[in-house]
Amino acid sequence: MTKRRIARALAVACVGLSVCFLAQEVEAQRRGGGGRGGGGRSISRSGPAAGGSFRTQRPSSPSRSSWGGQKPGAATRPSTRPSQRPGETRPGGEANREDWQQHRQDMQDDRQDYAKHARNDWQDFYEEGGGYYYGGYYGGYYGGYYGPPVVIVDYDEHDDDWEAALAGFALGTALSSASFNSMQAGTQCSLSEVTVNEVKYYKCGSTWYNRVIDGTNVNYIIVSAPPGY
Amino acid sequence: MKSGAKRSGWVAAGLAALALQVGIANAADPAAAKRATAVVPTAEIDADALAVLKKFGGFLAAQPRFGFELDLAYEVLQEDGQRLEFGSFRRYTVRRPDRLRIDEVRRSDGPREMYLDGKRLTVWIPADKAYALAKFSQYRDLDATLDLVRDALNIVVPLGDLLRSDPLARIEEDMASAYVVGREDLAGVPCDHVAWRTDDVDTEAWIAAGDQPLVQRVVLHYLQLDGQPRFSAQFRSWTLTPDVADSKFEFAPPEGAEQLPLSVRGREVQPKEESTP
Repeated sequence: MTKRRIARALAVACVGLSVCFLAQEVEAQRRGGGGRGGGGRSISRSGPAAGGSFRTQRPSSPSRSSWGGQKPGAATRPSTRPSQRPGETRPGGEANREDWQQHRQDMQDDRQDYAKHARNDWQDFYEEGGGYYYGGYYGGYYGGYYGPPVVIVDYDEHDDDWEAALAGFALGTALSSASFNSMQAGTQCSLSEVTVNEVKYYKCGSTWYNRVIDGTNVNYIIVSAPPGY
Repeated sequence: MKSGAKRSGWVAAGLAALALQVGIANAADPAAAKRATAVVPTAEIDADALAVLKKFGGFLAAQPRFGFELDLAYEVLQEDGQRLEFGSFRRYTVRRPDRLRIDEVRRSDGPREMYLDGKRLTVWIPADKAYALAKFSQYRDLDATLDLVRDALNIVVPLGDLLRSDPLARIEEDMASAYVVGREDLAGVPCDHVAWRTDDVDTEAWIAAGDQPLVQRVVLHYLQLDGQPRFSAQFRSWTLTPDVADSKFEFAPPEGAEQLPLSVRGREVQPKEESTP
């Protein structure tokens, strides 16, 4: 039992680390790909002030500040609340396009490792957590889940809990369309496309992606392989 | 010569008396003392400031429909420490209690459209010919929807609090201090310039004086964020009689549009059997 816990904690830490790395790389590439600054300068075009909120860093209702306390397995969530809202970019941790090229191979390796860890974690949580899934990753830019073409979302005030109909499990990182295209060109992968349960999956190298709308942007999000692949 | 010295003596005495009088007045009137030392931040909510805001809040809350345009700008801190400004132009159309349409054109990233009708959310990105649809499992008014889409779908509506049934509820809740800066003209519209502070945001708003007390401008400074970035929004073309036919809040996908999955922020997500749409 204790051993298992340690193993799980290690796995989570490992996932967290690799995700941090990935998030930085991906964000760097996202900016590099989207930037039109020239001269290799990467420009952040969005930040926390873009939200135009009269308040920052606060849950929308007092009850939500307690989220994470009651559900089984909640203690293993890697981070609780980011200092900035997800979806909002944080300056710093950027790398330029050259860095991206250098780290490309590392990143691919990491991605695959991460995919394995994340999948294991997910299954672990699913078995032990009484049916609740957990995003392996919070505190960066992207949520852990995506829906089928029509996602059904709900917020249960009594349970303080999100519910959504899911089509698959996302592994937590995403690329803008521009970054995806330059990554594809950079890695020279042969891009294949399959449609499973009305959702298109794109495969570049050994990594699977869905094209999703994340917030109000089109992104490619790394996902586990579709059923049957 | 002699009389000159005498005169200056009287002047000095007079000045001393005046100074004493001012001192006494300040001691008797703390507000006056505070005004005299304006650099010291007050920790009080001035009644006049609250009255101006409440007049606006009450007026907007009473409107069954309204629309306005926003020219908004925000700063983004760059790696080298410089803050750059980006922004967008938006048109908000509201039909209470549950309809909202936002037509947005970003300075650097093209147009977006967003539709809410109490039962679903649609996002349309013309440049990508892509749209996404979220259905709510139960009816939601705007108050409930704005929180839901922000928390679950990472879709933030700038100044969304102003679209709520009580536009001032959250602002008042957080307010630590507030005062009226003064009467100012914004593009010929006389406005009351109001400033208030919360723990983490400094806010200024310009509310039109007169019988249509509508907000004309908002400036926010995020004190706790790196670089203390600024957000500003210029309101234009307020209307209390926008076209709010049902069709204005419905999205019809054009030919060739691809429907994409919508990314849902993972917190605790329970899979459900997908109901047939």
